[in-house]
Formats: sequence, structure tokens, C-alpha cells
Amino acid sequence: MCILKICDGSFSYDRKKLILNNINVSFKRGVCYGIFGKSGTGKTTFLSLLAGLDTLTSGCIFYDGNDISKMNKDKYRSNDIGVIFQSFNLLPHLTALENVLLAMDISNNRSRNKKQDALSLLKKVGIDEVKAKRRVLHLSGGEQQRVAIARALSYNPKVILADEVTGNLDKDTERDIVDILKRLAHDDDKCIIIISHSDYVKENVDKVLFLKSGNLKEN
Amino acid sequence: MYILKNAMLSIKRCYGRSILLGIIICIIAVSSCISLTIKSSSDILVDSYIEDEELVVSFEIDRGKLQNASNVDKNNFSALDVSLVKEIANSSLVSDYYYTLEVSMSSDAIDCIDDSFIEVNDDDNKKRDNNGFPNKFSNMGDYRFTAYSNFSYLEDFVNGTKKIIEGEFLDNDSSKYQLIISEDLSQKNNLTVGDTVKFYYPSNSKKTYKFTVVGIYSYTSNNDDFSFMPGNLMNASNQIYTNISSISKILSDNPSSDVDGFKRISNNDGLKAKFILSDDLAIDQFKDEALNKGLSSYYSLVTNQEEILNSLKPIKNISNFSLSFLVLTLIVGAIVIIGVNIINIRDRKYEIGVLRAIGMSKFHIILQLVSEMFIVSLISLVIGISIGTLSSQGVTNKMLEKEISSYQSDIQSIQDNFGGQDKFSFRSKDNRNTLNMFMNSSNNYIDKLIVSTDFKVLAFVFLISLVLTIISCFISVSFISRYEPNKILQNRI
Ligand SMILES: Nc1ncnc2c1ncn2[C@@H]1O[C@H](COP(=O)(O)OP(=O)(O)OP(=O)(O)O)[C@@H](O)[C@H]1O
Ligand SMILES: [Mg+2]
Repeated sequence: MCILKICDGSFSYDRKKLILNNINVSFKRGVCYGIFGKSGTGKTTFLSLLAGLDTLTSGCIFYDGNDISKMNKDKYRSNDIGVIFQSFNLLPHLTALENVLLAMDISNNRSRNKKQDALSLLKKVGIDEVKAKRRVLHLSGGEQQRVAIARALSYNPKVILADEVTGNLDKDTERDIVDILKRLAHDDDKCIIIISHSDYVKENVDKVLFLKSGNLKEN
Repeated sequence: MYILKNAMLSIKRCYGRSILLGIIICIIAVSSCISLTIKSSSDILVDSYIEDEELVVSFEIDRGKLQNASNVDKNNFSALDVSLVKEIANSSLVSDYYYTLEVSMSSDAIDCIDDSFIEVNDDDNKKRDNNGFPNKFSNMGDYRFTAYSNFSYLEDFVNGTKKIIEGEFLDNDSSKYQLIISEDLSQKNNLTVGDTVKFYYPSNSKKTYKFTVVGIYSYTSNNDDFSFMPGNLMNASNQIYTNISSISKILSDNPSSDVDGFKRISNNDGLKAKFILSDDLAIDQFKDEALNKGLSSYYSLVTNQEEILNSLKPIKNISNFSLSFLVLTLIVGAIVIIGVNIINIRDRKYEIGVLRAIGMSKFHIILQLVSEMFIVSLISLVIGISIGTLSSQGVTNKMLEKEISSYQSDIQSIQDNFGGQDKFSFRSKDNRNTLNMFMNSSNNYIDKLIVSTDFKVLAFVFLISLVLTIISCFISVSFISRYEPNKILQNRI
């Protein structure tokens, strides 16, 4: 089942140099993808296009068969797609728990025990209750990254985009996180797209894609 | 709902910027509260003053007009006399009136005070009379005799410039020749209360009038008005007060034999009449009435309207000043608030970018920022208005307290000035009227005044701040609308 599909996608920041050049690719649910490529090749750009944070210069992106340029982007970002940013993008004046709760609120989660859900989610990525009630500024880089992961998972989106998700983590934790993401793909039928430089990720994802001179290629 | 929760969290966690905004709004609220209270209190004072201030009207001969008149008209001219004054006063438009009679007299029995450069301190009648003096300069007498139909209009005694120090005040109902003389005159001639002195009309030294001294007054000058007219008449120490019946008698004994119009006028020039009108708007009607009753058309009407307006100038200036201060505060305040809000929003670009990236809609973000501003404004408004109300109330109370206590001591001393008698019902003039009103209805009036103002002020300040907040909100909205989440996030990294 194809959840995300890019047709003839091209993108350029300055309308001169094409960062993405005529990309055609589709992503399925239940699969964990890994996108690799040299620094500066446009991986983050590609991800922000998928997240609806930017729009293609030409071409279309379809989510579940709908052109996302014609969808309500706010609802798309808050419900359908979860993004773990390379630089976390957490709100520094809130605690870890509040960051997760806010995302749940924005996605209009009506669950009664949101707080409990958020805490157990944080626990799952390795943030205990004491740390969950600390402001994110007082957490380490790796802990902040986990909070970002918990936030992306909190509203149960069908697609999760993870940018350099393991860059700040040690081998063991990296393994844990990749494990969690893989299980989400296999058990919960989600579409996971991980951007990484790590060999461990390369060896453990279901499908590897390379971004090179504006094109996405398998192997 | 979560938006409100988030707004509260944001205020609590980032209290620095909330406090900054709060202090600014507080200051604006306090200063607009104070200036508004001052403005509305002074406006109320002005209104009550105008309402209570008596409109005093008198008639003066239009000499230029009379000079140009034909001889027939001059001969037909009839000057204002006491009976006409009484008739004019007998009108529903007139709430009160008084007239003064003045005559200059001479005496061989006593010596007048005659240093040449002397300070003149008397009511305004004397100053106006200056025009008339040259006509009778050759034979003017040494003493100025003045009588008031109602002595409670005798300003010098009311305001304390003159004071009875011995004996008692005159009695207008008495047919005796009474007088009160100055301290200087009594000392120079060794006169005490009960002594009699003979005076005569300057042009008729044969007929003398035997006056009894009933009182001696002291006078302290508090006014730097110098007269450069030579002559003993102008010496304030030679001012003698007597009763109406005495002067009437002297004037009727010495009718003007001259056929010439001017002489006749100057003979009656000693009569001045003032009418206190009950209605400010009735001036023209009153003049028509007076003309119908026989007032010569060569008289023109003089009022104290300008004087009233002049005396209101300081308080009006306060009112205007506080208004301009208020406007300035609001303009500066609006600029500062908007500036601070813009800086706040620029500072929060990243936060806004994150919120947009995780799918919060522009509308919700604006809602959150607006509610933050409203909560902060509301809290600081409540604080600011309370401080402003308390302090402005204190200031106003203090101001009024001072005025009232000075009034209370006034009333007592007026009675003292007249020799301790209270046979005159003291009429309050000038600004005392307003205070009188305050006094009569006791301090309640003051409280009411302040409270009612505060309510109006409160609503006004509140409205103003609301408008300011809404304006700054619109500006923030226009800023946020320009933000695209990816751009904000990328700029930050
Ligand atoms: N807002 C922008 N305007 C112009 N050029 C940009 C902008 N953002 C990124 N670029 C450029 O586009 C290219 C791709 O950037 P991108 O961040 O997608 O790289 P990346 O593959 O994620 O690199 P890394 O592995 O280091 O994260 C880079 O050359 C970068 O300089
Ligand atoms: Mg990147």
C-alpha cells in the first residue's frame, strides 16, 4: 500500500541550482526506509518537502492518494506525518512532558489520560518521569532527541520522518531507537523514513535509498 | 482550551517579557488615571463654578456717545438715581443688588492724612472713578465718604484688608450721621469711638453735618496698586465709611445748580449700582427691561463675565494640561507597547516556527499570542488602575482639604473684620461659592465627586488599553502571517 508518492519532483531554493531533480519515488506502510547521501545533498530539504514545510518547484507529492499541496497543511503536519528534526525543534521554555502534550493537543487528541500516555511514551524512548518534568534546555542532546522522537510518535501519525535521528546517540541507544522505529513499521504498519549517515542504520533498515546529485536511487 | 493553557505557561515561564510589558501598561494606566481624574475633577469644578458664579451687571455712562449728542439730548439726559436703581432691581431677573453712594467732604475740625504718594487700596469703584475726577478737581474735598446699601458687598472688609479694631460697624437703618474712620485718621486727630466731627460739602462750607464716630478700622494693604493721582482724596487713610441715609441727605441738600449735562452727571456720579442676575443668559432681557423702566440709552452695560472666565483660567489650564499629558502618555505608550510587542514576536520567531512545524495553525498561534497579551494587560491594568486611583484620590483630597480649611478660617475672620457682628448674612463671592457648595453639603460631596469620576476614568482607561492591545495584536498578526515555518527554522539553525 503506497502512502507517500513523489511524481516528477524538482526543487530549488534559488531557482538556479536544482537540489532535487525530477524525483519519482513512493513509500509504503509497514516498511522502514533509510535515505543516505553526502552532507549537503538535500536530504533535509527532501524531508521538509515530504513534511509539507516547503513546496516543490515542480511536480507533486501525494499522501494517501491526495495531492498535499491541496490539503490542509496544518492538519497534515499535526496528524498525518511525524517529523523528528535534525535540530530537534523543541520548545525550550516547556518541559519534555509539556512538549509532548502540546503536540498531542495540537493534533486534537481527545484521550482522557493524555498525560499518562505521554509519560509512558517518553519512558519507551528512555526518558523517566523526573527528566520528563525538566525543561528541555536542561536535558542533554541525546535526551532532547528522544523527546523529539516521543513528540513525533505522540499523535500516532502514519508516516514518521526522522532526520539524523541517531546522530547524537551512542551505539546502544542508537540500536534501541532504530529498533523502536522498525517495530513501529512492522507492528503498527507505519511508514518510517530515516535519514542517516550511520552504517548500523544502513544495515538494519528494510530499504536503502541514496540521494546523489538531485536524484534518489536504490542501492 | 489548550491554547489558553499554553498562553498561561508561556507567561509564567517567560515572565521577563511579561513583566516588561506589564510595567509599561501599568505606567500608562497610572498616569492616564491620574491625568484623567485631575481633568474630570477640574472640569467639574469649572462647571460648578460657572453655575454658581454670580453674574454682576452695572451700568456706566458712555461718555463718548454723550459728548457727541446734540445739546437737546444732553439736556434731556437723566442720570441713574437711587429710585431708578430700586425699580430696575425689582425684577425677576435680579437675584440681588446693591448700590454705593460716594461724596467728597471737607472738615475744618480735623486734619486729613496728606502724604502725597500713597498706596490706594479700595474696592474697584475708586479706580473706575478716576475718569471723573478731573472735572471736580478744583474743589474736591479731603475725605471720601462711601456708603453701601448692603455692607456685605464691601470687599475690603470681606477679604480682610480692612478690619474693625474699635467700636462697631455702621447701621444702614439708622438715620443718624454715623461714620467709621481709619486708624491713621483717628490717631492723627485723637479721635475715639463716640466722638463727633463736623464735615461740610466742599462747595458749601456754611452747612455742616455732625457725624459720630462709631468705629475705627485698620487696614493692611496686600496689593501693590499705586495711584499717581495727587490729592488727599486718594489717600486711603482718608476713606470714611458712612451709612446710606447720611450721604442721601448731603446729596439732596446740595443739588447741582448747573444746567450743563456733565456737571449733573458728575454730581450723581457718586452712585454706583450693581445687579446680580439670577440667569447668565438674561443679560439682554435685563437691559431691555432697564431701558423700559427709564434708564437713559447713554448708559452701557458692564458685566463681570470676562472676569469670571479669567478667574477660571488657571483651573482650565490644569484641565488642558492634563488632557495633553494624557494624549502624550497614550501616544508614547502606544508606540512603546507596539514596539515591545514587535520585539517580543521577533524574539519568538523560533517558537512560532516550531509550533507551525508541528501543525499549529496561524489562527491558533495568533489566538495564543493575543490571549497572552490580554492576560498580561488585564493584570497590569488592574494593578495600574488601582495604584492610579489611590494616588489620584490622595492628590485630589489633599488639594480640596487645603481649600476647605482656608475657607473655614475665612468665614470666622470675615465676622471679625466687621467687628465681630454677624448682622450681615455673608455672601460668598468669587471662588468661595464653589467651596461654599462643598461645605454646605459637607464632605460627602467631595467623596461623591471623586468616586463618580473614578468610575468614568476607570472605564475610559480600560477602553484605551483595550484599544492599544488590539492594535498591537493586529500588528503581531501581520508579522506572524509573513512567517513560513521552514524559513524561520532554517534561519535559526
Ligand atoms: N534556505 C536555503 N536557501 C538556500 N539554500 C539552502 C537552504 N537550505 C539549504 N540550502 C542548501 O541546499 C543544500 C541541501 O541542504 P540540506 O540541508 O538539505 O542538506 P543535507 O543533505 O540535509 O545535509 P546534512 O547531511 O549535512 O544534514 C545545501 O547545499 C544547502 O546549502
Ligand atoms: Mg540535513
